[in-house]
Amino acid sequence: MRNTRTDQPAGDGGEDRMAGGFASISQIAIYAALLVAWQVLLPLSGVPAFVIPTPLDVGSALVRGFTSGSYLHDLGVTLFEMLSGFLIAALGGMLTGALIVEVRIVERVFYPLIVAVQSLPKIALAPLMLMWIGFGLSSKVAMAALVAFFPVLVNTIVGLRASDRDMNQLFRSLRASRLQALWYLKLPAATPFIIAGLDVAFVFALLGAIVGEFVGAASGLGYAIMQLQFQLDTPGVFAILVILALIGLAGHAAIRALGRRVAFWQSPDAAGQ
Amino acid sequence: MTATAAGCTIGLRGVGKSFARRDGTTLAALSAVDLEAAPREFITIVGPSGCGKSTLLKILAGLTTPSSGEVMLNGEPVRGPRRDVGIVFQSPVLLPWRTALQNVMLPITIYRQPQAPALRRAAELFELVGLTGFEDNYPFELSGGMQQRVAIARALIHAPGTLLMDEPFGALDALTRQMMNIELTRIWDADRKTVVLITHDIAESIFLADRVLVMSARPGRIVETIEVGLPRPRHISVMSDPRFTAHVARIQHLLGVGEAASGGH
Ligand SMILES: Nc1ncnc2c1ncn2[C@@H]1O[C@H](COP(=O)(O)OP(=O)(O)O)[C@@H](O)[C@H]1O
Ligand SMILES: [Mg+2]
Repeated sequence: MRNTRTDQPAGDGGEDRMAGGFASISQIAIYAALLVAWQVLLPLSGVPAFVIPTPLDVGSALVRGFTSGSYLHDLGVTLFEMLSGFLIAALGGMLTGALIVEVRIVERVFYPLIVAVQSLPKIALAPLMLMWIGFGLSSKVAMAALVAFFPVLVNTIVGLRASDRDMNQLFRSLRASRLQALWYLKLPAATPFIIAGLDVAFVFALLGAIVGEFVGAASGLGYAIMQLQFQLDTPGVFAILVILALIGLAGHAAIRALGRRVAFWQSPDAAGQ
Repeated sequence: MTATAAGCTIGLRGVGKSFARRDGTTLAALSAVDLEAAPREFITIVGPSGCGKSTLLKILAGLTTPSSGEVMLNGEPVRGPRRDVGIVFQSPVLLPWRTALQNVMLPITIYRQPQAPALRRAAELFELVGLTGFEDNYPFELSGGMQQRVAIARALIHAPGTLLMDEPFGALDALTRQMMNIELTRIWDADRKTVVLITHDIAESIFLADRVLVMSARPGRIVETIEVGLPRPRHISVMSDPRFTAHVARIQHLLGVGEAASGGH
């Protein structure tokens, strides 16, 4: 029997969680030292600020962007696009995965198509999305959903097929219906896999939204990057990159927290594969 | 048939099972097994590993169809898994996302039976298997022996007339195993069902049973039936009873234990 408790370091278990969620003092110190070195050494190297800005330049660009309100608007637009796309991908991916695993005909008809689309670099479809769906937010939502759909789908399929042979036999001995086996066995057994898929999908949704904005948009963080790049405002570009990284980190932390709740019987790291 | 709901009869006639091997040949796992169990009888089946014991139990449980012969349970032919049977597998097979109580209640949920009376029954079963107070613990918080006791409670929750157990204590250490055996006889004494229990442990097979069926190596057949005839309730001291030791010697002989060693002299 798997015992999730014994392979953790001694302590109340909270330490482990802290190390995963927050930086320790020494980590903070190392990153602070790197930032200070960057700040001090960069001007000495003679690299111009429009190629690589100093941390203080980036910081002041962030403050300027937020106080002027322009970042807030773009942030809102991109968040809306990526979260809508993520939600569509999450629900669509889980539903399609369940249908593929449970309904033979769906697997026969759609699986080859899905494999074909999956091996395509989805961002290459961004110009088509723009043409089909239009210049507005919906083409970016579609891009985000399209890119984020596959990790959810693949993990759902793998997860639903991963339930243990003995457990399947138990359900057979109870004469459980297929729907009961799905609800009481396969779906719970698949949650660690689905969570891992959602974790990847979150970053993919952000990627999809940004690429969609690159191809053609009037607002959003991707659009802002293009504008700032055009104006050679490299500190501004870096500031947006910082915001994007923070969005990704926040999503990752939120999904890990969700995973600890809904797949609590798994050790936190076992859900990562 | 006169079998009551509390104890079903089991009848196997000429049951055989062969499996198709990948190279096209067939593997005979069981051949011509006959077995009768009276209501409320405790039968153990002992045999070397690989002799088809699990296959036999799965046939009884309706999880595997025999290649030949017929299987009757409570007067009806077995055509698939039945709801008047409880099964305990070699490993506890608990769902890790359900508490001990929720695991015990699983058959009730699947059978869509009313929860309230079953919850009262579950409380009695937790008491019976000595797990009162652990209802809300998850499987990973329980020891192997405790998990198997949860599995026994789960097999009994829907009040089946028949209990089928496939080496239920095979994965436990010797001490825990002995304690579980004593506990199982106590549980069975409190509510006697027809039980078929598979084991490869000779002492366990005698300690628990009214009758021990001894199986040969593959293809599995029943080579002898031993009437245990020891008084109940049984205590650990029964193991030093001369009749007990005589049964042990007989089964050892039938299974060829020790013959390889003595044959060298
Ligand atoms: N589903 C199966 N397919 C092929 N061979 C099987 C299958 N199940 C069991 N066997 C074979 O049948 C024989 C008996 O197996 P089993 O009933 O599990 O024995 P036991 O429980 O006594 O150890 C073994 O040789 C095993 O390899
Ligand atoms: Mg076996």
